[in-house]
Amino acid sequence: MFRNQYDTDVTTWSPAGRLFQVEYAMEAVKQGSAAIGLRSKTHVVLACVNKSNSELSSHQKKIFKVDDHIGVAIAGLTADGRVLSRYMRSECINYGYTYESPLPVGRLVVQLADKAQVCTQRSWKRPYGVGLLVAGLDESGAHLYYNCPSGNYFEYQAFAIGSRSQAAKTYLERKFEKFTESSRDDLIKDALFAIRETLQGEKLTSSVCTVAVVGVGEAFSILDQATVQGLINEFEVSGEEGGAAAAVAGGGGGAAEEGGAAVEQEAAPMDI
Amino acid sequence: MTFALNTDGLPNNNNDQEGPTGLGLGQTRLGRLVSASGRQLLDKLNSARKNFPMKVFLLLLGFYTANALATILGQTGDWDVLVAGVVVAAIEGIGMLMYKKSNSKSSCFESPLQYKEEDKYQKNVFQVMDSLLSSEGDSQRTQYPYVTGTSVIGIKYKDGVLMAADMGGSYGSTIRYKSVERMKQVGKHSLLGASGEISDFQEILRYLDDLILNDSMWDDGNSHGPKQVHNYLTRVMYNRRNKFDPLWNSLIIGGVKNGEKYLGSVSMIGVHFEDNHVATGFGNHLARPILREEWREDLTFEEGVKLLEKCMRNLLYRDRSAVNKLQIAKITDEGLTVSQPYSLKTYWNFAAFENPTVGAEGSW
Repeated sequence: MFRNQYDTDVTTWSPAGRLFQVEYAMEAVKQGSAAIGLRSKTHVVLACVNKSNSELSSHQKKIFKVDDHIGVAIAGLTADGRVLSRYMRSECINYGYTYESPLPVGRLVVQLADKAQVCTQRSWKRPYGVGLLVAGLDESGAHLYYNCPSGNYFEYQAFAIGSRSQAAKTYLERKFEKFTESSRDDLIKDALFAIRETLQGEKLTSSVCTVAVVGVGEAFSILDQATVQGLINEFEVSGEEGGAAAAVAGGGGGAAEEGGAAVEQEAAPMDI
Repeated sequence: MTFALNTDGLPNNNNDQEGPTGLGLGQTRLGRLVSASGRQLLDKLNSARKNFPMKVFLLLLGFYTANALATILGQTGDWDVLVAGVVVAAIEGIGMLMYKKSNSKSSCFESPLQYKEEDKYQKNVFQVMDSLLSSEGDSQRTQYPYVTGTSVIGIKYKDGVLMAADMGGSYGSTIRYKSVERMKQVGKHSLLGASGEISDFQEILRYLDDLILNDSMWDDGNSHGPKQVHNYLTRVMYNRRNKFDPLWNSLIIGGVKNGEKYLGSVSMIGVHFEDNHVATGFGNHLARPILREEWREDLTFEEGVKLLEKCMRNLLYRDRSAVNKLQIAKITDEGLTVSQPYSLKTYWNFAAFENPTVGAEGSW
């Protein structure tokens, strides 16, 4: 039976220069239900797909408010996500206590990444199994960051993580150039469209997604279900009218996903 | 000390430990103590049965020797006290040797030893507390100011913030130093003025250097403005007063960031506020009334300087710690400039100055 010799310990390198445990943690992010984020000059929108474990249970919360100016959407182990968002909340509140001003988003993201990195370099720890999309507003404008279990972080104009996120990424890649100048409502519309891509033909309703916004003059808030349903109806993104478009995009996305997976087999997927 | 510690290893000292046991360490521990001492007693009995005839012989020999010694030596009446001392010392010495041995034998039975360690620790705690609480203890804190500066005044004006402070440093009521700079730049956007203990001010400047260094090391385009510095200093001052170790200063923080003017003050116990014009110490009584009358939102730089000079002149006349050598600092979006030290024109021939006791019967 095939057994990987180099994946029993987080701190053990493979001869090819890979850390398998860290890669497995990044794999956990891909198992979680999708979360997306996109930003304009003034606003950032986060959205996620709600998936319940069984017919009898409710879904888990995947978007957390960290402070008035920061929020996160997670994909992967929700429990790890909650721990990290609690850490972020306490960092924000401590900064606010000392300086009476909001913690710059970029700094919080670095602190978070450092925390995740430590777990990849200690034999008695395990990496966090969660990817975080951090949306925030500070002096230098609106920001969207992605934090990876490997301790890497990247700033994005728009990004998607989680299962079937490739379809949403394809959608965002096609549209992102106009996001900078988008209005708040246009961003939400694009967020809903991107979320629909990840549903693969399933009908988009307010019960399967959560949307949150932060922007200039607007504290981070999760939109309530009625508002989201209203927007879905207004933009006609439920998926039935645009069924053909969704099928086309879904098919393209599926192909891209396979291609992406093939590429990832070769190189260490550290840059995700 | 060691003597006392070693003898305490014996089971009959368990009585001493009932205090802490009763204090809530639980029945189980007490039970363990009792059963352990029972076991020890049994051990003792067992070992006592060994070599029994020899022991009886030694007991009798000891009895005989003690009697003989006491009788022979005690025959000379004058030596009684001395002999008693020697005998007691010998007995204690033998006791010490004996108990030391038995202690090491019963080291597996460790709870009494544990308690002793705690006692020792507690004794240390009490010693420390004693030295903290005694008024004459050698305190390592600034309990009184030594070299102090007097008032600082700050105002907002059209383009930013102006601040004025003289350069005197008083050693008690002696004006000992004449060139103390009491206004310093903090980061890119802020200006800090201080009255009170000069060395504490220097310590605050060291804190702020650290703060600004750490902030700029992020190198991410964010930087602390006057509001952040003000709030940070408030926390520092209040924290130190909570340690009964205040930084003996009244501070004024002014600055401009992104076109936003800011002016605030912190006292040595952490009282803080923002205003359009602020002052410390005597300035609160002599300068603020003038500023309340004459300050406007749209003061030009020249008008602002004139207003500050009027306040400083008043302080110079009436505050005995003020000296006639002052600086004025200006901070705007363009940056900070601190003037060269200069003096104010004064006129001391007012009638009230020439004969100050007229109309103030009974004063000197």
